Amino acid sequence: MTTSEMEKLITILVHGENHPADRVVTLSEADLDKSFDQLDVDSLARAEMVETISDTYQIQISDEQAGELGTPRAVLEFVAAHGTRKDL
Amino acid sequence: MAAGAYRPPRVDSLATAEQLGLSREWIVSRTGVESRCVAGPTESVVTMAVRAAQDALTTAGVSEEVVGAVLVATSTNPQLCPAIAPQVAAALGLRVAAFDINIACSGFCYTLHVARSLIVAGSCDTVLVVGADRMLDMVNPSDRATAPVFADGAGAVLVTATEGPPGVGPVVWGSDGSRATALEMRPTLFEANNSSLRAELKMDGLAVTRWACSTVPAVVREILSVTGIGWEDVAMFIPHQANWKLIQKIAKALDLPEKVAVADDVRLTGNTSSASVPLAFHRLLATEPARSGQWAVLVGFGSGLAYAGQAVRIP
Repeated sequence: MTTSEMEKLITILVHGENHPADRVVTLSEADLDKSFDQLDVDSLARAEMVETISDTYQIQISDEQAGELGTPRAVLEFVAAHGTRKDL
Repeated sequence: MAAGAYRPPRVDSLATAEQLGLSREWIVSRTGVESRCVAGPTESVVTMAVRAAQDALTTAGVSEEVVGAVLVATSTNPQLCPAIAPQVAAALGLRVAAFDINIACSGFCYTLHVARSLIVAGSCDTVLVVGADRMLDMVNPSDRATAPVFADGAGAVLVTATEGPPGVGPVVWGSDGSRATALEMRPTLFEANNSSLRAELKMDGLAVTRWACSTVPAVVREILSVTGIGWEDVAMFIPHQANWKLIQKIAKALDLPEKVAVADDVRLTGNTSSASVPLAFHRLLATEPARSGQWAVLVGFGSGLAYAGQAVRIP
């Protein structure tokens, strides 16, 4: 999973599938370590994100692992370590 | 069994969307909630509960005097004491046994089983079971996870002893208090009194969603098993109206036959916690009138974390 794919996923979670063109999430290096709450990704959106990652990268994610996916960087590293790469 | 309802006026999700700086489409696509019932200042938990109870009595075609006990499932009594139920009983002109049960979103199904147990034990012949909540009293209007979904309302059923086959099946229930913080009010009311903080509902949507998806389908299968029925006997599936997406996930996991109507009251009413199952039941009774005599499977789940469910014969 690339940072750009992560930006696309967060944009959909925060602004919806049919988001306006000016509502696109971009992640700076510092943003990668911000909590999802700080990035306006609420807990229901995180549930959706974990499901999307699990389906897209074919990873079984335990409750404990899901709870630890609290920042974009944590997700990127988790997918790199466990995922089977597919297109988002 | 007869059902009644009280739904405060509906407010379109567009209003919530504007308040949160989101689009209506965002709310509907993520939660399925197109509108929510929002109580006004005069629609207290007590008054909504009374209106739902009166509706159930009217549907049953009986007068208040037959009621032997009044049980109210609620988690939004603004006073820790007194309980809501005695006030509901008094408004109906009754001085019978009356008490509340607080187990939030699974509260109605817990309370229905207590009513069944009172009848089976011979304590009384007819029990009024009400689920009533004003969830918006404890929701932060700027919280994206809770503000678009939660709502206010009350639903009721009148349960009566019968000589024939039982209309309320055995319960399947349980809890996992080790996950209590996943859906709780923080800070407590007492802590809030001494600070500038507001006591409000905090939801870890990730934890609650994953727990529900891994727990509820197995609970539903167990309900069928302990009742001795299969999906061929079931006409309605009425899960707690948490949000439409979660309901769809649970229904998909159960691989329900097409003929089973899945309650979707959350789309118009929102998530009314203790009131959601009886309100959803009430709506399906109105929209699916030909299902009488078949079974409906009810299941509540949520804060606690806790769950309860049973099958009931459709009146």
